[in-house]
Amino acid sequence: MVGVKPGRVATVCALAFGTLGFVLVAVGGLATVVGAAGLCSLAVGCLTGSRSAVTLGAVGLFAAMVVAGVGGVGAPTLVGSSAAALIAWTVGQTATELRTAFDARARTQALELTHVAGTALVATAVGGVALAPQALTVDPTPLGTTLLLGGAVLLTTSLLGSTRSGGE
Amino acid sequence: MSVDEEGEIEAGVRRTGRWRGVGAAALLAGAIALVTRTPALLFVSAAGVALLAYERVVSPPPVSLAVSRTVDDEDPEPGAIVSVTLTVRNVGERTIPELRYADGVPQTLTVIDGAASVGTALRPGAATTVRYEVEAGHGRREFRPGTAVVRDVTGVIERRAQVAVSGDDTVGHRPKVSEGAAPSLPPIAARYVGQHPTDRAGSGLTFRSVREYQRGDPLGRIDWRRRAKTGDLATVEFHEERAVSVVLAVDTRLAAALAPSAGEPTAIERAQTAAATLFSGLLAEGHRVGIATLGAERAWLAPSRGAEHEHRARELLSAAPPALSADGSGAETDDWLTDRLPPHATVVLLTPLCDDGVADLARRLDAAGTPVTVCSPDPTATETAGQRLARLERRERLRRLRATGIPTVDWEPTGDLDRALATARWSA
Repeated sequence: MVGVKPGRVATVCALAFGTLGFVLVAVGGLATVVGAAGLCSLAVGCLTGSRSAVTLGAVGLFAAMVVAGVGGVGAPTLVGSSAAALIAWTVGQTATELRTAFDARARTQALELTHVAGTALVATAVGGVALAPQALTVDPTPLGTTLLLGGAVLLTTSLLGSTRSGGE
Repeated sequence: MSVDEEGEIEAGVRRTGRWRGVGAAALLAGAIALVTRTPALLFVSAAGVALLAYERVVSPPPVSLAVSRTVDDEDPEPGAIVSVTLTVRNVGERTIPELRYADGVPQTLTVIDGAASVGTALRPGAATTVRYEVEAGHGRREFRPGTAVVRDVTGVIERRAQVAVSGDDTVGHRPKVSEGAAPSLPPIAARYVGQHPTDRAGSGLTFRSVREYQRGDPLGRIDWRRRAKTGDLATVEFHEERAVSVVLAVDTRLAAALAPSAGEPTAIERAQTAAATLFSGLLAEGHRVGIATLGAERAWLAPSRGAEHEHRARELLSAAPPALSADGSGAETDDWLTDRLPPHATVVLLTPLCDDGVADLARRLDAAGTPVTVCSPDPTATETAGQRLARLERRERLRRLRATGIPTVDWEPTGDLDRALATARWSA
């Protein structure tokens, strides 16, 4: 791996996972167009070092996934595509950071490979947790569904508030 | 988990914000799922909530690093290539999945091969080695502590810390204050007669030598005994008692960290070189010589003589410019310097004269009766209009100082110091 510039490994991995996320949901015309645009933006961002373009690409992949979901694609595929888009987004940002933070002759391959593997592990675990309820068979009642929905919204806003304050 | 105004959860720990927007995406996916009656999207929303939960609970590993540095030549000549080897070891019990380490290379050194930073992952007990080469500059430079940033495996939270490095912490050539040329002060600067005999022949009390009579020698100094014995006229010489206390005031402020182009020594480095040369020359003349630095981190070495004094001066002049982070000009510097000057001391100001503050300092000292001379390494260039303007302004400052009777030496970037001193009649 000697001679590989900082961010190159992360760029390749981000594009690979971005492509995976795109392929999983490219089932209809609109989803394919939106996803392809997102993938292009992701590639441009990784190759030029633009973090905004990387994020825009991730948004495109997410939008393609939503369109595909509305179009009838199953939950495991959607979650898998989301996880791949998340990895592409995270690793793509790392690629842009490394390009600017390190001298071109610095060694960062170990960091990049560990980061890609670790992020993929976290994304897989998160996807597994999200899909776990699908394995359970319960009779939904209106009250239970309402309580579950209310609890989910409260949990989301609570987590959102705490992470946002820490991320400022 | 409390957060301070700078976004730090605890000292040195902050979230990177790279998953900013995940919460909104989760809510959006949930809303679309409800509106379009698409249950599958609820699972995507749930995944987003799980991500937020992960970001909420994860913590960065501690900066449990032991870093050692080896420099292959601690005392190289200026321009020599020096190889630096770093070993970074994780001495903690937790894996560091993402470590970014940057060595504290002195600002005036240029890394010419390799990189002084590394990004890696370290298991407990594991180590990585980094090698890079720098070109030694003028004077001795101290490495700063390294900077380490450790992150969790996804990079959503990081801990930043300075890391002390064991092993070699300096590189560069020590100026040899005892081996320089022997410049003297211009006559106007040595106006005060001191109590210490010099090696120069002149009027005094201590016998120095007998030489052949020259027309105009005082009658009282003719060796009449020799005249009676041999018939030759000879003149007795004594050690001239003219030694003064001299303070070499080196401008180490940020405003003096200037060079004609990148890679050339800065005015601070050249001023240190000139100070080392003057120090040796003035000591050889029998003067008591001290050193002051005019940066924010001021250093003072009272005028004295002797081997111990020379050693301390050498350490002081070989130190890295201490004031590259702040400016120390103004009346405060005047007070600091004048409070320490011994009575009848002469000040030799070594400065590029690239701002009015230091020129005003020279004038104020002169007005207060302190003999001041200025040795000014020229850091200006002529490539751009701004550089030419800066050169003109500096020359105007020099002209004004000369107009007030302050002796000055203008040391050009490509010029030789000894020649500049000789041109200004500073040579002994």
